[in-house]
Amino acid sequence: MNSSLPQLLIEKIQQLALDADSFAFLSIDLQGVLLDKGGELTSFDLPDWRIGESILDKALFLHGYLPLTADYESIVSYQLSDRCIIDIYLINDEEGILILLIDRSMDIEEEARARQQRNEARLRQRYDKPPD
Amino acid sequence: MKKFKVCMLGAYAVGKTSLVRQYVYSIFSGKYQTTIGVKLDRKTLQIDDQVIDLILWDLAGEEESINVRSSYLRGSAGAMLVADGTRGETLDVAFDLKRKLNVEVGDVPIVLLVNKSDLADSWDIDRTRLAELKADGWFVFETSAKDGTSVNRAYQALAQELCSGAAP
Repeated sequence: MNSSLPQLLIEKIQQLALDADSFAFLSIDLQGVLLDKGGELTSFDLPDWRIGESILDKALFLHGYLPLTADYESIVSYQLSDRCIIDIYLINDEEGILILLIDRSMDIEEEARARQQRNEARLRQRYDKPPD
Repeated sequence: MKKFKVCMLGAYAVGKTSLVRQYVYSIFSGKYQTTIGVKLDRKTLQIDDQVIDLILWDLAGEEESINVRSSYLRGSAGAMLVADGTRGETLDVAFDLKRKLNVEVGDVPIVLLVNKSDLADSWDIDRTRLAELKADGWFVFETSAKDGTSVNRAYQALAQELCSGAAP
């Protein structure tokens, strides 16, 4: 948190961020059992995991990160599906791990288009012809 | 069941996504579609008497290894380095990425794929260097995501190494 900003501005920034994106969360214990979930989960292309079930085998993105050795870990621009790109934050919590999901599909769309054009231009330059 | 996180590492447009799609779904599309961020797929396979899962992390291709986020590499058990036989310079990018991987997770099993063997007439990759890598004990496969040549063999070789716990 930037302490040089007045509290009112910090709250406004937080509100703007919350209004701008879709958020959801999952809470798991250290064995990967789902303890809680919430937010706008229905707008994410995720299965309907039930409280009390282990999601370790199902949430592929978790593999390799547990146990968390840092306070938090991030996986940005994770393509859940062709139309859903999210940022994931894994945050150490007293009971286990909080998983924050932020829908970034709209923000990424433009970046994806720009990257596609840039890479195609590079390939044309490299081969002096359009890619197949 | 044992699970192994495997990263697909290489420059843009070398065919990382196509290799995963060929391996996991046996499909190929000739249309180039750049990857944004990371896509995950799972492939279950049998190595000797073990059934294992490869969790394939298909990372967006970069020209500079510095642009690849270290957090993507964390927890990797192994990697596929991918170069494009028709663009010799992509071999250097692959090895830059290997160094970055080594910093993050140490020595892990790695297989080198030189992709687009269906365009072998247009290759400009340094074949002497490939021969030297093979002589040094590297697993090097000349693959085609388009027709499937050596794709299964390459993943099988990596899986075998992961199960035996040996690093190249």
